[in-house]
Amino acid sequence: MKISHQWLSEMFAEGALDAALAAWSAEGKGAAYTRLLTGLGLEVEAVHAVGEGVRSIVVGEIRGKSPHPKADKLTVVELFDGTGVVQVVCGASNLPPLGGKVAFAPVGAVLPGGLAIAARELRGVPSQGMICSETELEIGADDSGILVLPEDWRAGDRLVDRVPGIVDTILELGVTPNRPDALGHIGVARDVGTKLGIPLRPPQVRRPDAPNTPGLVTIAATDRCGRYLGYVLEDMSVQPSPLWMRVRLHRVGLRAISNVVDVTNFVLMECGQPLHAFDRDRLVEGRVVVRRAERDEPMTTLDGTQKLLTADDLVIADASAPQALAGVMGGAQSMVHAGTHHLLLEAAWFAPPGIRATARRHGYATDSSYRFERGVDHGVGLERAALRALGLLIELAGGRCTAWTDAAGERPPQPTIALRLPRVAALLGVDVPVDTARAVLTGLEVQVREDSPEVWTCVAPTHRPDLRREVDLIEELMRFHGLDKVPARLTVPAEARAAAHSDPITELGDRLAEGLRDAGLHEHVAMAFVAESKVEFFAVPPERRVRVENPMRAAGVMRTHMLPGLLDALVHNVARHTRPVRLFEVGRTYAWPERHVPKDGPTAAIDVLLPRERAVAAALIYAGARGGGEAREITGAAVQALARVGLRARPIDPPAPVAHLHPGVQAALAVDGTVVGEAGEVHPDLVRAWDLPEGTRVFYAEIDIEAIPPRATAKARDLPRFPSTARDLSLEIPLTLSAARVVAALTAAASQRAGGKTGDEVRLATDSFGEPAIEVLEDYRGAGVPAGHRALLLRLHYAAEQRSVTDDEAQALHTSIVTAACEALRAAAPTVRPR
Amino acid sequence: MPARLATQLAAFQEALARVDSEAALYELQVAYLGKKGTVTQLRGEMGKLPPEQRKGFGAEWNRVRDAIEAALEERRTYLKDQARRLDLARVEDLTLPPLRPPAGTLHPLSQTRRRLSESFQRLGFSLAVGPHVEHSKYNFDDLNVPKNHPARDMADTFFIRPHRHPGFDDHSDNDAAMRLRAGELVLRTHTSPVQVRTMLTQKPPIRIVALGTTFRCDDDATHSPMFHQIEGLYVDRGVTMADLKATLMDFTRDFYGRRLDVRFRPSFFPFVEPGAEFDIGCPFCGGDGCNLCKRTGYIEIGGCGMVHPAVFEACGIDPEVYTGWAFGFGVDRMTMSQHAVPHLRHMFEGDVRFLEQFP
Ligand SMILES: [Zn+2]
Repeated sequence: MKISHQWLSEMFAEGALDAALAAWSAEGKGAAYTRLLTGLGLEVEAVHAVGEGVRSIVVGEIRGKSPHPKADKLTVVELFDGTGVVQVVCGASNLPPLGGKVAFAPVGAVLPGGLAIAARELRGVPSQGMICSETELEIGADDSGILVLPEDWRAGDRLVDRVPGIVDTILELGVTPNRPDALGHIGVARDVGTKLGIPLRPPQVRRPDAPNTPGLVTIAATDRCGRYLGYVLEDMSVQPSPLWMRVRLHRVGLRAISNVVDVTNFVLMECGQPLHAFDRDRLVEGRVVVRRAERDEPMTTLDGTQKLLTADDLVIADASAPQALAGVMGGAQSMVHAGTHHLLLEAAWFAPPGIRATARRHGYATDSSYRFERGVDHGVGLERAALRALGLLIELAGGRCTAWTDAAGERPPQPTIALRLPRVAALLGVDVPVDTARAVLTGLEVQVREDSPEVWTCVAPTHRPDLRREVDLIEELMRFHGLDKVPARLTVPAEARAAAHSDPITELGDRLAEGLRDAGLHEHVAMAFVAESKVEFFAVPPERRVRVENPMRAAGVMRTHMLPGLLDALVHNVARHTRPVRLFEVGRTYAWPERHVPKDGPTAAIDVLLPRERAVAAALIYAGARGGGEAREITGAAVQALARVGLRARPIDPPAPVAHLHPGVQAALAVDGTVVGEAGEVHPDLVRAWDLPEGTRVFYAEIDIEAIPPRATAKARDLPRFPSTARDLSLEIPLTLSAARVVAALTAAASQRAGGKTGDEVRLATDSFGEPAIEVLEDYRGAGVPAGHRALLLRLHYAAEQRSVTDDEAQALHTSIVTAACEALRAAAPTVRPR
Repeated sequence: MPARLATQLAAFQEALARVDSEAALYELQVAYLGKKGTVTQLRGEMGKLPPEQRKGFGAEWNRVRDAIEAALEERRTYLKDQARRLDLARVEDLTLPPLRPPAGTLHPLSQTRRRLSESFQRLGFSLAVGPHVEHSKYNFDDLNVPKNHPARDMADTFFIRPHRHPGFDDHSDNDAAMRLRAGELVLRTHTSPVQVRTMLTQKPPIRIVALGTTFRCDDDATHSPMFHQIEGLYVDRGVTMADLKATLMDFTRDFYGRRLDVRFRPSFFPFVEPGAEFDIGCPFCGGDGCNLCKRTGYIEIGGCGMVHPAVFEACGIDPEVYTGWAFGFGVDRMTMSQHAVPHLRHMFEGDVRFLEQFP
């Protein structure tokens, strides 16, 4: 929102604003405004000093014109600048006839854009200055030719004297959605005046002498239109606006079009009130009806697009058809054009939610809808805006008001608010003096009845729809008293506070992240949404995928797995360097539950509607072009991560194959028999789908954080005092029989043989962390092993509690364990045999 | 000296000169002085000598044995010295790359998140969490952002397509599911729904921070559609905005290691009233003015204010009894300025050359 200092000044007695601002702060206009308005919650985003370069521009009179001897498009102009006649070469095609007036920049002038005017020759003809266009002076957007000034202006007059306010300071304000009043100069001025203690004195307006004619306006949808003021203006003429009007609009970022449109825009910016002017001759019966549209009723808006309306759209119709999409955009049929003579001027209040719904539905965001959906004034300000426009129209377009009316619908009630003054300190920790409170509320035009020293009964003004309850008034008091006056003071001293606690899942995730970091992986943060094509390979079926209705970057599905994000990152890395890529991410995956899952607690009714979000830690390892890299690094990383939360995990045969991993290179991760994750080589089909080079081996592990069992308190074990004896075993087994199962079979066989008669029989020793002492030394696949087989070299350690064991008893136990284990394994893999 | 003794001594001395290891020295000792050693055997022959020669031979034998033992000892010492010298002459370059697993890192966002969460836990704030896919009731309505209100424009929202659970038909929640129309499920646009969930679930005093992923349809050089926020909420009897200011100052001391000024500027967030933006004294220059604070001595952090009574009412807390404050700010921008990250896109690309810069 652009706010002009000159415009603000006109909202006060002459000179009052400049004086008060200077008295408030000596730091200069821009800095003073920035501090003042930002302190009031109207953030100043930028300040522009404009028009300084116009100071040296004077009115020039054309005394002579002759074609340039060497250039067809140039004219040699004899120009009277008030003191003498100078020769100027001009390239414009719209030079006025002799006696016409133009904006002249004499030699020595510096234009707003920084161009310094010097005497020069143009194709051999001397030129003493420059005839300027609006754009060169930065006072308009018309660059089609030079600026032609009114003929009755006197040559030599300075432009700054002819167009007061042309030198200005423009403030760019960030206006929050709760402050529709600040979308016009009056609203900003009201805040400024209240802060500086100067009374608001906006330009005078006058009610027309014409008769109130209720037939002009009918409000059928009274719930959607609270008030509609209509004015008939006859015998006016559509023309360009005078320069002051065009400059003023340009300063606040609007384009001058014609006097009628310009006046409505001017009032929009002055009062924050959108207005609309209909060509009354094109309204059937010359009257309007505010009603809901018929379903699929057609209408062409003034931007030329044809719309089919819904029964929820509010329209301004004439006796037959919609002529405007109420509060959003006018219609093409009745729009003001060059030949318009009779107007119907609209100033109305429409219910905000309906305007917003219509604007969204039809894809509009106009200056008008922007203000209506925030809530414009439906009280005195509305009529003031209408009368201000009427006055300006009569001044600039001629004509007279012949009829008007003020139609009423349902206006929002003005709440009566009890303001308890002690509540200010109770909320903010600081007192606002009573005098300040009174001055602020009065300045904002809040009606105050001081029932007691502690309770005031207040009625908010119609231009502040955001003031609805006590706390809103407290905020107003604080805004003006100064939020910077809030002291720093704790309610409860630090030592009296209850202890804080963390969130268990977050905590587990953080520890796993540290474990993965320690395993040499870098943490990645990927987008939580991916393209549908990237989740197609995974086990979550389409109907369980959580979809984004309005995705960006075509990422329309919430990730069902972490792997796509990590693979994307891998592709990014591989395209840029040849180093190993070791990444992990701790985050969430999303899927609709397979079946209804009941929830409990106070939020159950909502929670039951939401998808399942699973906390996951995922790791990816790619050795890179430099070679190396073993599948077991990924299980190592996962086991290390789980060790960080005090759990000893081990890879086991997957209970069911995981689709996105290589069928022959995958394992489940188990903690005490509970599966908490998976690890393996990424399926070659995915490697292809991500366009990674053929044969790229990528390893991936995923830990389901919520499946991690609670960590039990460790119980100490006594330490054996006697050394163990080792026996090696070479087992020939099929490729598909896992080492985990071999170890499990040996462990089972050993435990069946445990529990001796003496109580201290030789048995399988205990290794670190209480695991059975079975080492897997080698996975041999060379010569001497039949096809489809491998040789697993294991070492088993034997010990007794209170004594050394003899070679003979160790050997006897070893033989018996191996025999039993092989027998058990042969049930599933008949070719298992010791070598 | 008897000739045989002399021969043995000479042979020993010759052999000794060739000995270059302790093992060989031991062998030599065994060969001459062991149970079956040649010199030991000569002593056994003493009994065969005539008695008058025995004493002389015995003395000679003892001398030879002593000489051999002394020579052995001397040689042993020499060999030990020699071995020690050799050992000490070894050179290993420990400036070669150390053997260790490759170094890994935590994402800078994670590091900031952890530090924030630790700081606020030290200040007595418990960690609260909530779902990313949220119902608009918690993301908007209960936070005093009604449907069709312009305040909804403050956050461009991602909407989630509603889902009809297969088993819903025979369940009492069926009605709710059927009423779930498009636009009701969203990706949370801020961490504030966690406030609502906490207030619905707990009784005051409530003192929590919520830290997490948030989403808005915004994608340019300075906005990512996914970003991170932290949100604090304190509800109790007698909580004031002065407490908020003091708490934020305590936070700066814990987080930045120095107590920095906190400045409020009035602003608007629908779920607080009064609402404010808050700035803190620039942690980089301590308020003196530097490039990072654009010479103002302050940096903008986020939004805050007193919990709006309408929010309390939606959550079943009596605003006449309790007051509270809330604050929130973005973690991404804070992380980027802390680490001077030049481009937002670096944060989410997963380039290991970027990630490894944050040990
Ligand atoms: Zn600084």
